[in-house]
Amino acid sequence: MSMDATFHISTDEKIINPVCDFTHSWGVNCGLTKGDALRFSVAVSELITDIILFAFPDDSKQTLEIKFFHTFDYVEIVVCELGEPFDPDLHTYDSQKAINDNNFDGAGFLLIKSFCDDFSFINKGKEGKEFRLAKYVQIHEIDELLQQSAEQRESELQSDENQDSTVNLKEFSVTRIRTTDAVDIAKIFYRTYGYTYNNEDIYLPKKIESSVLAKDKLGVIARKKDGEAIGYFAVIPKNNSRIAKVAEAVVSPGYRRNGVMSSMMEHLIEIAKSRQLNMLLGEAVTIHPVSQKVNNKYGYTTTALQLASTVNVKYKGFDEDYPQPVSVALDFLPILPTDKNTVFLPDKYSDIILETYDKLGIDVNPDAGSNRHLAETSDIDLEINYSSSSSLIVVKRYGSDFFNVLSDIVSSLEEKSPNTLLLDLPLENRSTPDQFKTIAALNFIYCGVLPHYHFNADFLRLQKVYSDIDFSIIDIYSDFGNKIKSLIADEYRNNP
Amino acid sequence: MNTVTTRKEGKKLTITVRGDFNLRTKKLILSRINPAVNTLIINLMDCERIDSEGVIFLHRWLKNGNSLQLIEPPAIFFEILELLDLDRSWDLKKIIAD
Repeated sequence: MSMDATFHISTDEKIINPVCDFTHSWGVNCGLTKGDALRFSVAVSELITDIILFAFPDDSKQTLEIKFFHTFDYVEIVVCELGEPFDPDLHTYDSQKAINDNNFDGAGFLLIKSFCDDFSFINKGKEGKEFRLAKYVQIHEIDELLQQSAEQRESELQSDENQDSTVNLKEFSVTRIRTTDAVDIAKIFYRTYGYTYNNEDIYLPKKIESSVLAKDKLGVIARKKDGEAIGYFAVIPKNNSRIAKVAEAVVSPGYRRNGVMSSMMEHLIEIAKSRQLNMLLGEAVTIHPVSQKVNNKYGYTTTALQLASTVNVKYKGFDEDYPQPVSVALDFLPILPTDKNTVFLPDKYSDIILETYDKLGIDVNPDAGSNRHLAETSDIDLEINYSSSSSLIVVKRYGSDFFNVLSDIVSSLEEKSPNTLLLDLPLENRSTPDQFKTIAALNFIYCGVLPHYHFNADFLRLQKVYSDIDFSIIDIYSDFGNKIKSLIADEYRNNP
Repeated sequence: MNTVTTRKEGKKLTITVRGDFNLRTKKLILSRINPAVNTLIINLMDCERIDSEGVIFLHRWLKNGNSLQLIEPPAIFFEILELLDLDRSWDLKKIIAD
């Protein structure tokens, strides 16, 4: 998810129009139709108006924060404010009351819900209130292509494993991508997948150019001696930490089994080193072990298993849809040696966390932590992924209100019938073992360790899963990955 | 940028709204209405967006027994009327000017 803008604006009615104008233009740029962008901007108008009228009824000198995010298939606006408490759920519009009694209570929220595809209200206690408005970009045809993509890529991966290449490639070069490679990258994807790859941007040379120019995307391209592009592999740096995700790997089908992928991976690791990245991350689906096998070959360690991470899609080998949301193995590869940090481990997971560090080759000082004075308020980030109905809660600082704030956030999110909730706790925070005990009642289970994942620090990821999971069809490749899976399966089954 | 220009003739106030018809626009219009005014003619040809504040203001104006004429309201205006279930209490043929 990309954050495009953040505004800190006064609670003054004069700002409603410019914010709505911005929302409209931005929405169109992100792929909304003009009509949907207009409706979305009216929803924003309603929300800011309600905040001005009800959260700050007599004060136009306060501020509220508006953040604009977009992904491939939706746009999201997050509005945070610290005004008087009010709860949208308590304001239900009734047209009879409106017509007969001139009572329009709830009209604004009705329009917000009507003009958005998703509206969430998160009560964060002393941290204030957070409103999230999301609108899906209409990509119906692409949705259908995504299903084909999943089937086709599965078959491509299998054939890559099992078949000899049709061409014995004697010489090829691998170089870092430049903006001038954009057209060739788009062509490789087209030749390999037709128009079925699930990231539409990869077919748009201008988008590739701008990503490369902005350094949002690093990567390598493989070429034959005559200059024809035959492979591409990207690393996408994470915003808030010195790690990057490997993604968008492709080798033209006729040139596989020639070491092109290996050579590109080696170059990517060199790029990661030159960029002083601490870690590479591969997210491998667990409907088959192929991606995990590739990661394992290059020294990645499975450190976490995220259940029900993606929505159901059709995969080759299953007569019907894969019968449950797809779980994802998180595979990490340390790139640069790191300092020996002290990590504060909850008793319950101390052994598995230390074993994870050992597998990663990361040396740590384990500590049980201690009671200490907490800040007055907690600092917690929240990301909602609407396409997979999952949310990520990231704890940055524990305050004395931690349990209450977290409970409020979880309750608010549960009203939206999520697939999963993820909770990231900072392992380098001495209060984590104590605070971990306080949240037992919230019934999160283990997910894994995320080294250097946020703010260059290690996090313990917990998860709460609301779907029925059949662990027998979650395919994990490595022994240690299977150990994590067993632990999670036990907790899942024993969780009330 | 939303702007409001007004011209008063007796009991009739002619208003041109450019940009949005929102909370601020409503307050600007209210500040220019005196008790003698009973007819509003609102030109919305250059109004791109109206929200519930605008629609509710217009609804209340009508409910108070006043006259209203709207010139080319934006399409979203009709969507909002329908969502708020107010369309059945508006005589749109009379209110929307040709």
